[in-house]
Amino acid sequence: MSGPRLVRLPESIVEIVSDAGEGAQKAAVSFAQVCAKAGNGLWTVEIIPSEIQPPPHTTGSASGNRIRLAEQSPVTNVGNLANVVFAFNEMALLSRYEAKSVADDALILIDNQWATHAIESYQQSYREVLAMAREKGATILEVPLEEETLKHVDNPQHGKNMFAVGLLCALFNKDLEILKEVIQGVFKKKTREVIDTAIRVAIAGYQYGLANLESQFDVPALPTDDEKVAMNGNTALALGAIAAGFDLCSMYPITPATSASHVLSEIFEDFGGFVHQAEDEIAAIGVALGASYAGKTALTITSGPGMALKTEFQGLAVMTETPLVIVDVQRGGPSTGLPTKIEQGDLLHCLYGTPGDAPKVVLAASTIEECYYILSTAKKIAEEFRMLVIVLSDANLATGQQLFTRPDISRTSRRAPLDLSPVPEGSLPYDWDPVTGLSQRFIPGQPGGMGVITSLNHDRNGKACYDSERNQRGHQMRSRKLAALQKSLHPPEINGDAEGELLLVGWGSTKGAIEEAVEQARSNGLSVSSVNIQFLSPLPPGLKKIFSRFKKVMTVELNYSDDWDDPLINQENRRYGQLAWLLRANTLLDIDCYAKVPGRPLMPIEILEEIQKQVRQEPVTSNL
Amino acid sequence: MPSILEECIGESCAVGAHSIEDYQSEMPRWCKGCGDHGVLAGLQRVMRKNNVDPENVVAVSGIGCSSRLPHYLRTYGFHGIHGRALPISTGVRLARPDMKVIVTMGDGDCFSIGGNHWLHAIRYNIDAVVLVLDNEVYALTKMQVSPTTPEGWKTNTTPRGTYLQPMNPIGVVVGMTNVSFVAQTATWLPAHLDETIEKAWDHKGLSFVRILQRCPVFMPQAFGEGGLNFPVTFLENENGIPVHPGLLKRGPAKPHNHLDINEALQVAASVDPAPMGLIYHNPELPTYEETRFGRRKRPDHDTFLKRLNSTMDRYAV
Amino acid sequence: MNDSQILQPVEDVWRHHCAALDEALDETIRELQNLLRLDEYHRHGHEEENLKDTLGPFAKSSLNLSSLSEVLDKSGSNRHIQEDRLARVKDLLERLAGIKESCDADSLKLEVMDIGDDEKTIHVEAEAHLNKIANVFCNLRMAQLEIRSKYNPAIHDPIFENFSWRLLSPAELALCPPFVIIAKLGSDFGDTLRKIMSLLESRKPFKIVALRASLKKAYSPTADPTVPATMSVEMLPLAMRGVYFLQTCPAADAFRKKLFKALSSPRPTLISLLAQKENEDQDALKIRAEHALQTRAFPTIIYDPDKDRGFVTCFDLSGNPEVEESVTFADYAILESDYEEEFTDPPHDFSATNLVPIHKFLELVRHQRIGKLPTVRVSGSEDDPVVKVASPAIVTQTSDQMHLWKTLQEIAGLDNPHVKSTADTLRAEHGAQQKLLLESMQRDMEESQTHREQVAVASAVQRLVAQLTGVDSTEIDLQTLVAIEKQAKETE
Repeated sequence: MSGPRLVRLPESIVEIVSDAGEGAQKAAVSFAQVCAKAGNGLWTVEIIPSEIQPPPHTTGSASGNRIRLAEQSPVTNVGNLANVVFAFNEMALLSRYEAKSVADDALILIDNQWATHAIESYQQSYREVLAMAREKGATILEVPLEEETLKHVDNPQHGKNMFAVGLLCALFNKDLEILKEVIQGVFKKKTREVIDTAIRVAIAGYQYGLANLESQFDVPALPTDDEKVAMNGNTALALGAIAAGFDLCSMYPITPATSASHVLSEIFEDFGGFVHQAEDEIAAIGVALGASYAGKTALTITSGPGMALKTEFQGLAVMTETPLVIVDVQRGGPSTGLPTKIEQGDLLHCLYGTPGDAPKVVLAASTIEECYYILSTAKKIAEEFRMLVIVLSDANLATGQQLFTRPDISRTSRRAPLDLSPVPEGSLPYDWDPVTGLSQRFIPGQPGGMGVITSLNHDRNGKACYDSERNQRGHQMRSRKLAALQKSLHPPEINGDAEGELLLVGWGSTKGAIEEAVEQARSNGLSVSSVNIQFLSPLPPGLKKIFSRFKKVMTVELNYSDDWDDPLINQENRRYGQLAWLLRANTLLDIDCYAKVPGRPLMPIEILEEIQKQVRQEPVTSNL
Repeated sequence: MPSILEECIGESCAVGAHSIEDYQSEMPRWCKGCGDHGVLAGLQRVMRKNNVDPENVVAVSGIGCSSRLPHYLRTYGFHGIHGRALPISTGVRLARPDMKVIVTMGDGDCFSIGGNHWLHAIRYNIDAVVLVLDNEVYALTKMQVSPTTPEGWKTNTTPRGTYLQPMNPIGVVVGMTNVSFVAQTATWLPAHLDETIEKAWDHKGLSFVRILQRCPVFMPQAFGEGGLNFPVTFLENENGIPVHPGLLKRGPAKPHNHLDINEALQVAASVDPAPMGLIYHNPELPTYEETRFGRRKRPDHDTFLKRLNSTMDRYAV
Repeated sequence: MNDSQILQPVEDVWRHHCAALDEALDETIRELQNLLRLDEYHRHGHEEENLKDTLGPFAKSSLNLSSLSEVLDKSGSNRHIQEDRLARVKDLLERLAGIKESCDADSLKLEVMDIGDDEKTIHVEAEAHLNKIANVFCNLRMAQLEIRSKYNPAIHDPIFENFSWRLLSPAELALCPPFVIIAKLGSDFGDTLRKIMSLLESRKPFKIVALRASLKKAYSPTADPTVPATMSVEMLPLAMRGVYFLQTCPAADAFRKKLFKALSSPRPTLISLLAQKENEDQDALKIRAEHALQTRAFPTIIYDPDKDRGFVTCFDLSGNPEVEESVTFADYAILESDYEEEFTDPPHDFSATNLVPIHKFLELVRHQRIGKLPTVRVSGSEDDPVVKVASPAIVTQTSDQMHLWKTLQEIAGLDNPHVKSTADTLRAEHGAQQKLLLESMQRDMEESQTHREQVAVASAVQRLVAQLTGVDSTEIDLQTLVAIEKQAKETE
C-alpha cells in the first residue's frame, strides 16, 4: 500500500479515552507535549470518570483527555466536536458520543480486541457501538492494539497507551525524534528498561500508523519568535505565587485546587517559602490571616466548599482591613456537587456570601497565562488597599494545558522589605483618608504602633465602639476603598463593534469559547460583539454606556439559570445566572443570560447556536 | 548557642528598663472579682521582669470575657473570632518568629468551637504562651453550659442541670503527640499563678496553661466558692512551680517528676483533687517554626530569579 | 602534645567563630540594605512605572496606572527615613563592608603567645585583639539598633564612642575568637602557675593552655610526706572561682568537644593538658594518657562557673573511670621512663612480710612504717607477686595524688563524711519504719481474715436457722450472730 496521503488542517480536536487506569491520560499528556514541542497552539481538558472506582468497560469508567491543537497560539478554548477519537474500548467511545462531543464524521481508532473477546456482551456492544458510529458517518479504523502491544511487553496494560501515542503521532505527521524525547521526559523517574520499552512500543505504534493509515493530518506549527511554555492553571498559579513574592501558602486539600499546593510543596522551600497544610479549611485561612496581619501577606487556595467554611474569616479580614489573597478554583456545586468538573458558581458567594457588609475585591482569570500573572496584581492590590482579594479560577483552567508566551522572569519585581520603622507620633491604626478610605497599617514590631486589631466595629483609633455614627462611618470607609479602586479601572475592551444587535458578556474561562463563537458569527454577517470582565468587584466603569449601544445584552456563563421555556418560569420568578444578576443590578438594564451547568466547558458551537437564536436570523452552517 | 545577632539585639536594645505602665493600656472592664485581672497582672509582671519591648509581643484572643485581655495590654493584639485564636497565632509565628505570642482563650473558645485547632496546635508545638481561662461557663453570652461545666449545674441552656460529665482537658493535652508544656493553676492562688505564667513564658514551645477561674457573676459557687472548698494537690519539683508553705493549707504537696510522660499521664487523669503546678515539661522538643524554617532556603534576589527561571525551563517547549 | 597539635583544635574554634562573625556581618549588611530599599519604596513605590512593575501584566488593559498612582499617594506617606538616620545607615554600611573585608579568617591572624613572654606585652596584645573584635560587635549592635529604629544619638553616641571589649556581654565574649597563651609546666611549676594566676586575675578572657609532659613533681625534702605544701593545678578552681577550668587528655571522653567548649568560654580559662614528651609519638602518648587516667595520675576535671549556682554542681569529675582502691599513682609511675630510678628491687633477704603494697603502706602511721618497705607489683599474681620497691619521692607523690583525688571528690560533693553519716542515719530510720509498716500490715491482714471466717460461719448459721425455723433469713441479723461468735471465741 502506498503511504498515507497528507491532509493539511488548521487545527484538530483529538480525544483519547480508555478505562480508568489504562493510561489514556498519560498518552494524552505525552501526545500534547509532542504537539507543544512541535510548536502547535494547544488547549487540553481532562475527561474524568464520574466515580472513583467505576466498574471497567462501562461509560462511567471513561477516562482520558481532549486535546485541541492548532497552527498557532493561543488556542483559547477546548473547541467543539472531536475530529479524532482514539478509544481503548467501545464503552469509552460511547461515553463520548453520549457527552455529545464527537463530530459525526470523526475518525475513530479503536482497539479491536473486543470484536473477538471471550465475553459475549463485549462483542455485542462492540458491534453495536461501531454500527451506530458508522451510521452517523464516522470512519472507523480498528486497531489490534492489545495484540500489537503484546509483541513487545508481557502486560499490555503497561504499554497500550504508548502504542496509541505512537500511532497518533503518525496520524498527525509528528516528528518521531520529538516523540522519543517526550517519552524520556514523561518516564524520567522510571528505570532505563521501562523507558526503552516505552519508546519501542511507541515506535511500533508509529510504524503501524504509517503502514495502515489512509491519510495523515498535518497541523504544522507556524513559526514564532516567542519562547513558549505549557502548563496547567494550577501550576501557573503556583509559579505565579512565587513570582508575586508570597512566602506562605496555607491550605487544606480540596479538589480541584490541591495540585497547586503540590507544585508549591515541591519547590517553594527553594525560594524561601513553604506550604502549610492546616487541620481544616478554617485553620488554613486563619494561618494565612495571622501571617498577613503580622506583615507578610499570605495566600490560601481552595474551592467552593472551602470558601463556605472560610466565610467568617473573610469577614474578619475585611473588618480588620488585613490584606489577604484567596484563590477559589471553582467546581460544580452546590455542596459536594461535581468535584472534578467546571462551573462558575461561586461568584455571588464571593461577593456577598459574608454576613453583614463586607466589600472585597474579586478578580477572575480567563486563561492559564492569566493564572500566572494574576497573583502579583492581587497581592499588590490587597496590600495597597488593605483589602481581601479573591481570585477566581476554575477546574477547566486548573487541569487543562495551554501554550503561552514564556513570562519574562527578569521583570519579576522584588518584594518590599518589612517596614519596622517607628510609627510617627499620633498615628492611628485606621487613619482613613476621608476621600479614598485608604489608611496605612501598623505591623507588630513597629515601636509606638501597639494596639489591638479587633473584629468588633471600631473607630479610627482601633477601639471597639458601638454607636450608630461610627458604625456607619466604618462601613462607609471600607466601602469607599472599592470606589477608589474602581476609579483606577478602564472600561473593558469590546471584542467586535461598539454597537450592534447582541452583546455577550462573560468572565473567566468561557472567554475563549465566547470569542471564537463571536468571530464565527461575525464572519457569517451577524452583528454581535463580546466583552470579558476581569474585575468583578469593583466592576469596571462604563458598563451601562457600552451595554446601551446594543439591542440585546446577555451573559454567557457556566452556572445555573432557569430557562424561559421551563414550566412555571416567567418574568417574575426566573432565576438568572450570577453575572447577569450582578450586571442587572449594576446597570438597571434587562440583561439576559445563557447560563448552563453541563459540568464541562462550553463549546463555541453551542454559543454560536444561541447567538443565532437571539439574533433571529436564518441559521447559517458553521465551519467549525 | 544563641546567634551573634540575637545577642547583639539583646544587648543593644537593653537601654533602660520598662515600667509596669509600659504594658498597661486601657482600664480593664471585667467584673469586680473576676480572675482575669490577676492573669493580666501576671502577664504584665513577667514582661516587665524580662524587660520585654511591648512592640515585640502579639496577644491573640478569640471571643469571650477572657479574650478581652489583649485590649488591656499595651502590646500588639489581635482580637479575632470565636475559637480561632490558635490558627491566627500560628500564622503570626510563621511570618514573624521574632514576635513573642500570647494566646488567651476561654474554655468554650478553646475546648469547644476551637477544639480542632487546639488539638493540632499542641502537635505543631508553636512557640507561644497559651492561657485558657477556664471558668466552666460561657459568661460573656450570659451563662450557657461549657465543655467543662460540672455535671448537674444549672445554666441557661441546661436549666434542669447539665447532663454530661465535664471534659478533662489536661488529659487530652498530655495525651497529644509532641506536647511540650502543660501546667494548671488558679486565679485564687496569685503567687502560684504568677510563677506558672513565668515558667510558661520561659519555655520554648507551646506552653499550655489551664487557669481555673471563678466567674463571680454567673458561677460564684464554682470551684468550691472560688477555691475555699476545692480539693487540690500541689505538684512539687525543684524545677517546677514552687510550692510556698502558705499554699499547703489549700491542699497537700506531692512530689512529681514532670519530665516523665507516664507520671504526667497519671496525674493528668486525676481530676479530684485537681493537680496544680507543672504537670509535664519537655524542653527539648523542636517548635514547628524551627522545623519549617530549618528546611527552607533564603536566596538573595538574583538567586531567586535564577531559580525561578530554571523552574520555568521545565515547562518550556 | 606538641605545639601544632594544640593549635589544631584552637584553629578549629578560631575558624568557627570567624565564620559565625562573617555570617552575622552578611545578615546585618543585608538588613541595612533592606532599610534603604524600604526607603526607596516609600519615596517612589507609587510612581506609575514602579506600579506597572509590581502589578504585573494582568489587567494591564483594565487598570489605569496614573489614576491608581494618584489614589495611592493620597494615603499620605510620612514614612520616609529622616536624612540624618539615612546618613548614619549609609556610614554603617560602609564601615561594615570594610570590617568584613578585613575580618576574614586569613587576615585575623591567630594570636598565640607564650607564658614566658613579658606580662605587659601579653596584656597589650590581648587588649588589641579584644578591642578589634569588640569593634565588630560595636558596629553590629549599632546596626541592630538602626534596623529596629532604636538608635538615639543622644543616648547611644557616647556609649559607642567609648566602646571597648569590657562592654561585651558574656555571650558576645564567647563568640570572640580566643586569645591563647601556651604554658609549658615542668616539674617545678610554681612560678609559672603564679604567673598564670596573675594573668587570669586581670579578668581578661585569656585562654591559657597549660601543657604538662611529665607528671613528675619536684618536692623539696621535708619530714611530712602526707600532704606536701605544693601547688596543684587541679585546685585552681577553689582559688579562682571565676575561672573556667578544664583538665583533660586524649584518653578522655569527648576530648575535642570539651576542648572546644573551654576555648569558647567567655571567661578567663585555664586548660590543663597532658602533652607529648620529647621523642614520644602520638600512639605512645595515647597509651600514657590512658594509664594516667586509669591511675588518677591525671584526672579529668571540668569546672564551669556558669553551669549552676553553687560550686559543687559546677565541678564535674564525671569523666573519670571507676578504679579499684589498690590502684595508685605508683602504678602509673612504674610504667614511665622518667621514674625508672625511683623503683628498685627489694633488698636481698628482706622479709616478704615487710614488703607492703604501697596503698596499704600509706595507711600505716609513722611508727608503723618502721622496717617496712612500700612496693608496687610489676608482674605475677596477687598471691605471688613480683614487686619493686618505691622510693620516698614516689611515696610522697602517691600520697599527694591520693589526697588530691580525695579532696577533689569532696569538693565535688561526691564523697563527704557528713553526707555518709546522714545517709547511714536515714537508711537506719527507713529500715525501722519499713519494719513497723510491715508488722502493722500483717496484723491487719490477720484480723480481716479472721473476720471473714466469722462472717462465713455466721451466714451458714443464718441459713440453717432460717431453714429449720421457716423464718426468712433476712430477719435474722447477721451482725448479732457474728458478735455472738466473737464473744464465744474470746471467752475461749
